[in-house]
Amino acid sequence: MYQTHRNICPRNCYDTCSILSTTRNGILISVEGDPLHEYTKGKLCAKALEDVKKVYSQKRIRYPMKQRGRFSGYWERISWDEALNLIAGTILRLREEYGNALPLALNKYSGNFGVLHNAMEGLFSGLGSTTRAIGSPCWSAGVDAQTYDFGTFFCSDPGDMGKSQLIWLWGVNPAWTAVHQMPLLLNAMDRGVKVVCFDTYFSATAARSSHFIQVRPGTDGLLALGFSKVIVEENLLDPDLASYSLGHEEFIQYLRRDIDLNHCAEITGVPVKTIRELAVDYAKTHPACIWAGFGLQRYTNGGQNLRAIDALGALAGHIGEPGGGVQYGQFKTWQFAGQLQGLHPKQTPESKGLLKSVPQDKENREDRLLSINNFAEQALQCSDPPVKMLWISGRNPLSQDGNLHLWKALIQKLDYIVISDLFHSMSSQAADLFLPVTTHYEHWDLHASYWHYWVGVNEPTIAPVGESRSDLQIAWAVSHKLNQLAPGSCAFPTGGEEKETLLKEVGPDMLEILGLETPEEILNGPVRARFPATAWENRRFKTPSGRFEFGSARAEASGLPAFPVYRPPLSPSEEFPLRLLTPHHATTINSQVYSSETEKEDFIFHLSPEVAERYALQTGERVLVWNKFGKLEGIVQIENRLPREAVILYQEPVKSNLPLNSLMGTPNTDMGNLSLGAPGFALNETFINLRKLN
Amino acid sequence: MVQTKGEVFLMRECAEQRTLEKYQAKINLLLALSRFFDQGGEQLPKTLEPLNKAAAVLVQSEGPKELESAVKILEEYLNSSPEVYQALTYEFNRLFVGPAAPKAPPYESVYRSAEGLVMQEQTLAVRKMYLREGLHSQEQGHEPDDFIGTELEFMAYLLSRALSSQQEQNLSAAQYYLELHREFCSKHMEQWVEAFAQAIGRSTDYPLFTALSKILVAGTQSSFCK
Repeated sequence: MYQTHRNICPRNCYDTCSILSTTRNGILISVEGDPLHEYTKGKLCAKALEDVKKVYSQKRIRYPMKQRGRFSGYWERISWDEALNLIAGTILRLREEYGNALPLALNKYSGNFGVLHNAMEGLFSGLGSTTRAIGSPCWSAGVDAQTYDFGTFFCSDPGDMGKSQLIWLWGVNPAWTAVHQMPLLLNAMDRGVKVVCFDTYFSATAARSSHFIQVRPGTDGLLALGFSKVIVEENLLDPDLASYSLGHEEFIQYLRRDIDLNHCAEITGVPVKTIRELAVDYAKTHPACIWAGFGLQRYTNGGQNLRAIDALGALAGHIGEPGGGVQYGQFKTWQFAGQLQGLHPKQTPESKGLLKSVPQDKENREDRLLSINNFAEQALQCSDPPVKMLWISGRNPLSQDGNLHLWKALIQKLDYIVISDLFHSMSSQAADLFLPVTTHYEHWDLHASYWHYWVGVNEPTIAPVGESRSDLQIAWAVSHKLNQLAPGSCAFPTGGEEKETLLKEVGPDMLEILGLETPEEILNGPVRARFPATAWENRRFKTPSGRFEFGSARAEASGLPAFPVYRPPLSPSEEFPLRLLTPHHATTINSQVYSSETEKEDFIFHLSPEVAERYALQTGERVLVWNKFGKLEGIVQIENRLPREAVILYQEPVKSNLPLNSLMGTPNTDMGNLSLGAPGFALNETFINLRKLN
Repeated sequence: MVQTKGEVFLMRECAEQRTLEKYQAKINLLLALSRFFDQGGEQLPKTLEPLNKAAAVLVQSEGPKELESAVKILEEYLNSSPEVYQALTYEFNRLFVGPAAPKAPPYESVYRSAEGLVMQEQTLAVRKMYLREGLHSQEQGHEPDDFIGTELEFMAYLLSRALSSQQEQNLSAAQYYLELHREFCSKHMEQWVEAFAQAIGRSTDYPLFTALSKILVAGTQSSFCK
């Protein structure tokens, strides 16, 4: 009657929760956090608690469907066999016509981070050299920054923060986006530990912290350099610095010479007195931890911002200190075998599994790699051969990408668009073919987190809803159909067992970090990788020099400053004088919506009293917000402690035919190429104008 | 032996061949409706004609007069061009299937559960009733058991068992099936078919689907058997 299964939340989120799901007579009736999981601790966020509703939503797509005319809304239900024939027929025709598989493009990201979803990459690898979206819309600049500084991308176990005597939350909002870290922070405050929240606006986390420091958007790097300057002036440097770092003297010279605290205060909005006090507190308190979020690196100077924060942590001697460090995220637990996605054996990527994290080995693979953040633009430029068929998986680019007009132009030029998803989306309105996929309650999968150290298996809890299939089953079926129509036409397997496939991804590397003898052992429950809780605890780094690199020759070789120096973000123009910030909201993960009840009637533009006064606006009034990319209408809400030069529009579900990305271009971050093959999306560099409507 | 109401009713009503025919007509209509929903919009060229025929027979054999116009509308669509059938397919999917949120989801629990979801307690309750008869939905676990097509088929099944029992002179069995049919109607179909029909009516501009919603409501009333 009642049965319990283990699941893992597959969303693009710090927490990667371990879930226990209960079924009654084969029907999913409840989900709860695994009480024995060290990080989940029996709790789930409001989003995951909506999972039953999501699985059984009347809006869920149950059958393959084809559309007559993109955006027409004229859909016909078809059988899987017909769908597979359409896909395979198109693939074979295009490959025949152009003599290669480059007209076939895959654009996939983080809709589901489960490793078996890499079957889509595997399928495309099985077709020959194809066109791929690479990079990440999310965190690229920061990943590179930490790779330049530390040599690889790694963070402490999140529990390590519990040892901190001082915690700086820098541009991160765990109260909304990493709720399992909150008990640790609140407990720390109960013990008298100071938690300082740095952000551009008074976030839900700021409201729960000991102190809130408001930083002007895009100036976090300069603020970190200001702190470093104080540490130098006050002679609070880590005395051991010379033994494990490279270039600290030159960096200190730069601070002495080029960083002026008055200028720093003027630009960042943080008074000199506060900068001094905070810097001294940070340097004198041990251990002290900084948790740097993703928002601060979504600028054209984003990588520099994080490198400056890393340098601050190093100068004060907090790197490698238990309870210290500059934490951002990690790849190290993603040591999956990579068989499924068809990684070439010669590749030695940082991680094998975290989607789009790995630049491909160009010597061995001739895939055409397009930046995920400039995908439409670059795909339009492809002429020899052009991109003709696009498969979108785990993504909703028409709601999330910038330069939507280029996406629309690309859609017009494509022969065929396939989208696999759970729900109809802004993007699937453009699809020729819609394939229904399973949720994580309906398939096997394997998951790691980019924050904590746990790796675990997701078991199917219920039968697939309707005719939905997992990405792996879809990839097998496409390969099967291709080989049926043209034997030998696809090298990807034509069938198999999900569970067996999963176990094959637990290869020797993974067994070693998890301390397991056999892959099957992971079926017993999530396992924590056996890394020390403190990143870089022995201060031996993975950089070319083996040291923490204040000065990075690799950065310099990439055309970046060798040192973390201040580079200003973009400035507003007279025409578009306000910056638009679009932080994540508690109720959504990007375009993934969890509760229809939270859907707003209108976009809500949050303004500081200063901005409101400048435009003579009152709360509740309607405004038009526009720039050269598009326009949106919405309602004004005035709040204290918002930036004086920016408007905040949360990524909330809104009943609108236009996504908030109508206002986005695609400015790129300064870094991202090194680890991810493409720069990130500097979406906080969006500028707008607004006016009152009637 | 005391005769129950059902037996009295059945013996009296079924004494005439005309009544038996009427039962058969009702069964045919339920099955035609079931297939209409089950086969999907793409099969309308195949499912519309039997539906029209079944509804017409029922109207002739003392069915509700208000259905006459609905049946006429169905009839007018019978010889539609492929283009019109194509448009009806799209409309069928817009109303009942997707991929955009269907305007009239064809599942009982959507109309009766607090959250408007599929696979809720109503689904399990329906499943239980099927099980009492040794039946289960072929798509159990994938398709909700309270899909309109399945519920319609179950009603037809109960009535046909009642009818064949009657023909075999097994009056207690006939009465059992009639009671079960009545219970299923009152506990399930009648609890949501109106709301479902209204959702169709307010979401479509196609007379075919409005007519269908009327036939559906009239054809599923248990009182219709009297």
